Amino acid sequence: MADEAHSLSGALLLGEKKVVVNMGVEVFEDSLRRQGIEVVVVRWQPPRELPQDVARLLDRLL
Amino acid sequence: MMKVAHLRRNEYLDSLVLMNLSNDVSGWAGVRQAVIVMGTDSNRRILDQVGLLTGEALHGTPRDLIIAAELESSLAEAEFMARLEERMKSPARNEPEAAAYYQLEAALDARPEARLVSISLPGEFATAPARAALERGRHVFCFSQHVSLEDEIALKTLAVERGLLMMGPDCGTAILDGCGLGFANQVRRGTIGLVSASGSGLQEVTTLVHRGGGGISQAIGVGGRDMRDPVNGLMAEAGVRRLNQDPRTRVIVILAKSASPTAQRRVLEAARAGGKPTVVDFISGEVGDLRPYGADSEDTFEGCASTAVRLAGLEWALGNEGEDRYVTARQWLRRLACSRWAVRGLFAGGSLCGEAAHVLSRHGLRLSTNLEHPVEGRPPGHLLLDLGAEEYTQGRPHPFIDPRLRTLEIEQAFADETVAIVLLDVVLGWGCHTDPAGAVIAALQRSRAAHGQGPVVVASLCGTEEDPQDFDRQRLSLERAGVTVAASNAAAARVVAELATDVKVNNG
Repeated sequence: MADEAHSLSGALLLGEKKVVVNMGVEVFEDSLRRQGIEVVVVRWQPPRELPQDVARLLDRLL
Repeated sequence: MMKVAHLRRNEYLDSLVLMNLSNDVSGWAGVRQAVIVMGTDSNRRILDQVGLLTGEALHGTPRDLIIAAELESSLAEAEFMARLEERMKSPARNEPEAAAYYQLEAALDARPEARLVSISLPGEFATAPARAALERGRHVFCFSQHVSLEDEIALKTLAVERGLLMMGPDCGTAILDGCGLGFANQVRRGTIGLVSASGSGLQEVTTLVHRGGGGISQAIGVGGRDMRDPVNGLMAEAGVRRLNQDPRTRVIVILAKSASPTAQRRVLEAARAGGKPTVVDFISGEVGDLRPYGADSEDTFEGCASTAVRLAGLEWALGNEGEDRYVTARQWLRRLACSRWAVRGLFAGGSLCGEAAHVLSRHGLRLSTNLEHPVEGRPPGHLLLDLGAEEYTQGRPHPFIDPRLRTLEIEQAFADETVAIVLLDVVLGWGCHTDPAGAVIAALQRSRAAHGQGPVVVASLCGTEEDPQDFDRQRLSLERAGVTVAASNAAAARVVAELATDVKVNNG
């Protein structure tokens, strides 16, 4: 019974393979890897701020 | 000596990368100090404090990178900037990036076995990927702060509809299936499950459960606003229902700061439906009548941990520290100048600050804090500051990672002739600073060199012997530096309350 409970809750939230997607702070990627979790990295950059006249033009077009 | 201030419009680097860069550059020959940060209000305040808010830095916005430094005459500005360019070009990472994507949707389509997405982007950019992840059937752990309440409610409603967890925004930590997310400690697996709207509370309870002989099944963080109006426990209720279904979980602990009556009723009804023994700590908030729900109520994290361990059928193995440990602190206090009488709490964990404020108030101390509203300047008297509050963290790493803000505050507390006792939390775990005790000790050494022996320092240490920083080594090094280390945050606050009473008696 204990083993059954363990195997059920062992995969309750993260799935059997324990793979996590990380988007943002890199130190969290390293922490996950050091705990034996496979990390899928999504690299991110903030969108560029458009010059106001271009933004206005895009607003009108879209 | 020369001050340098450069602004790079629309250039973004992650706050941790910038912290490492600033630390690295500050160590170069010819550099007196260097701060490289995004131009948020809190970062510009720090630049101002250290005398580097000059020239172009004055006009930085949160989208701009500010490079500010003070150089010796031996290092020319052009040479400094050239070296910095080179340093910024060098790869920040040593590991090969086999599995990097540039779009979340592509990553989720390619990796269906990934069940959870961890998001720690600046808050204004966190909602879209969180929604995309939920729509694709993934749980979300969202560390980001500054997400609107409307977005939080919409995301959590979507998650509940899909049977998923939306942990956060503003979720500092969680432990799922034994894996620590965000700032989590390495703890034994066991039968105690948590749902927490308090990140540092979750860390304190899980580590005390571990040190007290118990173990953790799941610890589900829900974000600091979940149990308040208008979110009213939307995700906490879903978390409790998860624990009800989890066969490993035998005892449920619910933690929340200032929980609304609606949220309290909601989570307690969910817990009662599951029929598992339940302990709650609605930290320093109004607690409704729990009798109809059969739940135990505690007002400290250590109380929560010890009750949960006993309800799990185990013996509580963490003894209280004897009074003799505080003799040195008392002797130190007697040698202080009469002008020193006030307590200054400098906390990295918000709920640890809240808990200390609660304990000190219960002992009759009148305090100022920034727990509900930012404080203006430094009001006289006892003052407890949560240095992880939003007014301090926009565009810079949390004080669990970046000790620089607390270092400045420790120096200020020593310089303030009224401060008799400094109270600190030292938090270990995944994602936290590699040597937080070392950072505190360096700040104390600098402060003592400038201001003499100064205030008594009392700290709690939140962590386990399995954490990457090594609990015992951290404790020993603090004690060697003259810091009184208590067994828990509540215990540290009780020690400070007693010492503050002594000061009052000594000063007549």
